[in-house]
Amino acid sequence: MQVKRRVYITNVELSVRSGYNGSLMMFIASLIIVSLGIFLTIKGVLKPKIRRLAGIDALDEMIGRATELGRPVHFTVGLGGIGNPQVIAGLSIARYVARRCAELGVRFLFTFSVPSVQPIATDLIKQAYVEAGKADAFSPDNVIWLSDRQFAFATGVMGLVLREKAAANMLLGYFAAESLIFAEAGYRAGAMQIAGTTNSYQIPFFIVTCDYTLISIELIYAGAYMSQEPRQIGTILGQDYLILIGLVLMGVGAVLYGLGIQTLTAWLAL
Amino acid sequence: MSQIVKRHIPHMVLVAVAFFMAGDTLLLEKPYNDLASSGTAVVSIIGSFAVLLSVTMLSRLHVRRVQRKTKVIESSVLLICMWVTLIWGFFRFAFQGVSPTKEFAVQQVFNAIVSPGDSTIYSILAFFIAAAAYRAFRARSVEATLLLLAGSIVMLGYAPVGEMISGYIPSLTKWIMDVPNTAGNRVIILSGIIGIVALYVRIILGYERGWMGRGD
Amino acid sequence: MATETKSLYAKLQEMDVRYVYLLMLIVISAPVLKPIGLPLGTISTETTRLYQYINNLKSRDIIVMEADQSPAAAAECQPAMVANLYHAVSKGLRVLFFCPRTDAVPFVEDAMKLVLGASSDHPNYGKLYVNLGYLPQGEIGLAGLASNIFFTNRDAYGNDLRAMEFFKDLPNKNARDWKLIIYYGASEADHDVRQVTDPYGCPTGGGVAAVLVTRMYPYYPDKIIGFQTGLRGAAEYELLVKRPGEAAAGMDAQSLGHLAIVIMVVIGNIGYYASRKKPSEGE
Repeated sequence: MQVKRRVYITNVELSVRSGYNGSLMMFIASLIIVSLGIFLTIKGVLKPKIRRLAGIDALDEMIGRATELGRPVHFTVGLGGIGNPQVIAGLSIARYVARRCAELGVRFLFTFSVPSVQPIATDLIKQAYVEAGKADAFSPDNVIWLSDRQFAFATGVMGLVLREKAAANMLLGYFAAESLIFAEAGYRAGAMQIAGTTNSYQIPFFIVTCDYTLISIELIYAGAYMSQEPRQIGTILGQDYLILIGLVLMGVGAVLYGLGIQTLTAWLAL
Repeated sequence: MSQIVKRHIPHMVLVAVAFFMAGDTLLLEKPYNDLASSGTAVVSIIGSFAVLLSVTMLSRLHVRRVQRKTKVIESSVLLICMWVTLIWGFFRFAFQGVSPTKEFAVQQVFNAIVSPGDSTIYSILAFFIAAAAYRAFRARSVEATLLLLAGSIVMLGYAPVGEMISGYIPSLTKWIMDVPNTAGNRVIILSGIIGIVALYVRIILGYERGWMGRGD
Repeated sequence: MATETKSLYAKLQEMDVRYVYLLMLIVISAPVLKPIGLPLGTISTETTRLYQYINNLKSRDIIVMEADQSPAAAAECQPAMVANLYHAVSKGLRVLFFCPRTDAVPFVEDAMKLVLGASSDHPNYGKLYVNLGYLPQGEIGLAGLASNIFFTNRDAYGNDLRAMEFFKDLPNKNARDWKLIIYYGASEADHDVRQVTDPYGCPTGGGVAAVLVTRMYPYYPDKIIGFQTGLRGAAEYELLVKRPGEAAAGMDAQSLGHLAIVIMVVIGNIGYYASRKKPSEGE
């Protein structure tokens, strides 16, 4: 049902959707809650302690091992394009790894599947080398696009990791069925491996084959975790508030539903 | 000026589009809604240009490899031949109206090379799963033992031989999939979605700039 | 100089992985060459629910088949699609096909030719069956199609959708007119739930690769009313529609393959525990 509302600021009459608008509420609520988390952390009202992510803490160890062995570090964000949140999260970690590799003089190989990642990744990694003071060491040939076909990409990565005998294999991004192919190739090359994705059905493969795994939300906030800046930590806090609210609503909703009261369920239906 | 162009303008465009699309869920003005729904067409068009980008990058890479006569050029030559076949298929479609799905040469490339190639690499997973299971499924701890038992029961449950071994295996499989698996997956899916929401809020607020190619 | 002989258990721990590959090759290919004919056993509830749902639909109800199988996943998903199509045809249902990925387009053609005997030149094409072909941009394309059934304007062969009898009597011209959308593939069916089931009330079904099954259960049975689990689910559906095909033929290989993996895991654990105890002897 259309409802006419008068927008007073511009004195223009606009039609708005009536009734509960779940998607808009979610958008506004998430903006407010995450902003609240950032505000409280920046102002020092809250000093949240983030639990340690073993995988992220082990990144330096993995890069150090590669330095000692004189073998490269391989990093891939998998199948997603630049609009994929897992790829964005992976890129933020890749920047850190690239900078550390540049500082230690380790060859950093970055592979990806969707071409739209190429200019972003090249710029990001080049910037990392510049920040490390090793701008000359950056080579665009180390930012490698193999294929946008899933298994052609998997074969390319498998061959690259085995040929180059990578000492560290970092699989942080969007992966589908080829995840086990990457992980097995890394194992056969003798690499130390870390993997992370939000695809729940690939996580078991990574857990079985990799040394460290970032499960779902851990990949998303790894970038913020690594920076340790208050505003970034604040976003993690805001995110946790969102989860808390979700849990409360789920619990209350389940109890009410069990009692035959479906008001909350109907209200939250998008 | 370059900071404004490289950092601020993309960010402002992103925020404007985000609020514009959010406004589409609120407003019921036809011109506004039509413009918002045309956003899906815009995304499709941009995606199509990304295909063009991949074609350009791939051909540049392999043509350069053939020109330099590097050690292994057979795959590059084969790829260039397949490009010619595909271009022929598109030519036939554009000027002679023959659909690529009915064009013999294009179909042969797909049926004889692409499709078996994909299937072959996917089938390697069977061997890799066996090797990974043999290597990693060790009852070293309580959690590892639970993983081992659950994995074995579900594997047998999804094969007809499981029911032949024991009538309890299918019902145990169903319980494992219905209860612990569903619970775990719900957690992972929910937390992933909320994490993604928070990531996008970080992007809108400007705290995440990896998508622009520049860090902080 | 005394040489240290490794125990059998230690050798088992360090066994060359190529022996594992060889064993898998033998157990999977042997039943293909010489079928054993193991019985399928109890048909799962998930497959049965999907079958019963389709069985209870009325003639000319619309079901949508979303073909997202790559050539890799086609081995598991294509038999399911064929079996479902047989069932839909036998019930006189209207079937709308679309493909979120380009390499699934030939599989829709293959399924139509196998079941109907023809694709675009079938006499009921445009009346009972329409193939929209490739729908770009994944979930965004699906959202567009769900909101407007004429989203693509034309089908895969260039025919105008509005001129087709298939779309003549639709009251809503969106996903509210659909009775079921079935996802075939190895990606995720969540987008069907988000874009079709939740907004429009059309339930989702699945003929998915086995690896995706864990992701289906959170939505089952309310939003995903039933699904076929990989090759086994496809075989079950083939038996339900009484048309055993590729999936039923692959069950022997699946059985022996799974059994071999479990036996190897057990042997590996025996070796692990036995070699753990060995150093304490003689100390």
